[in-house]
Amino acid sequence: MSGAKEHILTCINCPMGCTITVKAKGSKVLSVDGNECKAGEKYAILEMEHPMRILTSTVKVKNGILSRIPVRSSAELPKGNIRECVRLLNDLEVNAPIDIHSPVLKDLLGTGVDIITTRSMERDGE
Amino acid sequence: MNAKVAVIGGGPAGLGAAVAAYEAGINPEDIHIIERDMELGGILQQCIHNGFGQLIFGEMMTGPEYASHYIDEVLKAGIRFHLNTMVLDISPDRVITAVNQEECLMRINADSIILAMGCRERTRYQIHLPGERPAGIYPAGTVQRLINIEGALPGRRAVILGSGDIGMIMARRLVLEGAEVEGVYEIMGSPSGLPRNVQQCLRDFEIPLHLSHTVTGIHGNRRLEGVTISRVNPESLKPMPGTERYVECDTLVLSVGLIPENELSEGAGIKLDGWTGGPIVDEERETSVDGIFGCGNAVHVYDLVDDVTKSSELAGRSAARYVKGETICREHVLSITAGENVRYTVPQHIRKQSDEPVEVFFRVYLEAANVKLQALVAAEVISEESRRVVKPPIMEKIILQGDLLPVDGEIIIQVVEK
Repeated sequence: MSGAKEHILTCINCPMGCTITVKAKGSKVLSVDGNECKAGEKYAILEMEHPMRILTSTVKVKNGILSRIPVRSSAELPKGNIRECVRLLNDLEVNAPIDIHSPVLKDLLGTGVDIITTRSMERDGE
Repeated sequence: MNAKVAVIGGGPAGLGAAVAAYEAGINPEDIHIIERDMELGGILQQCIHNGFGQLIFGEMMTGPEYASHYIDEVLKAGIRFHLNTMVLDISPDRVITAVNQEECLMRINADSIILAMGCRERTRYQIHLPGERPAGIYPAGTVQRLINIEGALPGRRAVILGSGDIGMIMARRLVLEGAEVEGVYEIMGSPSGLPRNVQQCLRDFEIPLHLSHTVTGIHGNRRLEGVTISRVNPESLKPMPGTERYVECDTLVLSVGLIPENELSEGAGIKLDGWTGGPIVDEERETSVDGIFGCGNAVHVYDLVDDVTKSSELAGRSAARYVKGETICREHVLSITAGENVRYTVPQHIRKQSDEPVEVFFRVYLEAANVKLQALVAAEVISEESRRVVKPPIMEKIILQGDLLPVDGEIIIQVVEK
């Protein structure tokens, strides 16, 4: 087929990290080969059409036993927006005590995805 | 103080072992976790990236979330734990000597002990890195702690030596926090970390990975100013003269391997395996010293915390069985030997009488495609599995059915072409 190109991808779904060969015309996927499971096929198609990633980072926390609290996106974000999203976290500051899975930033860049804490943090001295 | 089960280390291995001992019927008041940090969770607390928990929970969790699950179990069960407490010594008759600020010196007489100390990073001196001794050279785990726990950026322009998982993960973290990563240099011809991290940590951020390269010079007086990079001969791994290149950087991150932490084990007279760096264990994870068990990265370094948890749950159940006097030893010990393209195995031998299947973990020396994993007894195959590909960074496992085990002799584990 004219215009069809072969792409070699590494699946990030699990530690196996299958090498997947995708034939695609532009972002339209024609065939997927080399994946050991269904998740690999889904990943390969998404990766060609609209790659998505989970974002993990930390934000400042006041009065906590530590000075940073780890956070993640509640769902995958478009890969191209990751750096912009991290910049939005730079100025954020939350207060201890705080529970695990508390939202610290809602509806990031209109994606409907929140940034949530991935641990609880007690107040210092308690 | 007396304990039925004393667990050394409150990281993923220690938590899993303690919970499993409790679930196997040991009174939670008689289980003691001893942890040197100010909280439970171990290294998971600084592993803020995701990818944990897929095997056990069927979802991608971050390190702190994975730790939280098991910390909650420990709290719910009422298992005892001692924070900010450093174990100084374990005696062969299972007396633990530890220190902390409240009690100063404490002694615990334990009916059983589970070693769950985890591992340490290989340092600059262990890989014989020549050159000056300026500030700015860090093991990857230290960079991880500085950025993720302390909120401090260790430098502005980093070179990463070694393509271990933590090194690649920190390459991504450094870039996301505003530093520049000039490149990752790996002495071997293939990455030492997992393929998914090459993709999501390096390629996603256009960080170059240079295989068959290493650092051959460190420059800088007070602070690191640059490193010399050389290409290496892929066979001998020796630097090739004339290939030197100067790279300016203020930070060198080392991700050059992990070593099980076993000073305490050695003090207790436990026999270590020269290949794994951890105690030699049987299929129940009992070491060479009666009533002392080992699990997690203290035994051998795992790729996945899920497998650490499973190994520690096995050790926890075994310790409970030992304490209750339910252990039955075989008449003859079965040795497990690493055969073709197998670097080492865990367990190293089978000593107990049981019909339970035995999972044997191992790593290959060389990448190979379309292979069979085999367990042989007297040249006869007792277990076999196929793999499309095997790679040194990915731990393999073969299951031996209890009823197929011989009365005595040797089991050889090998990886051969189909």
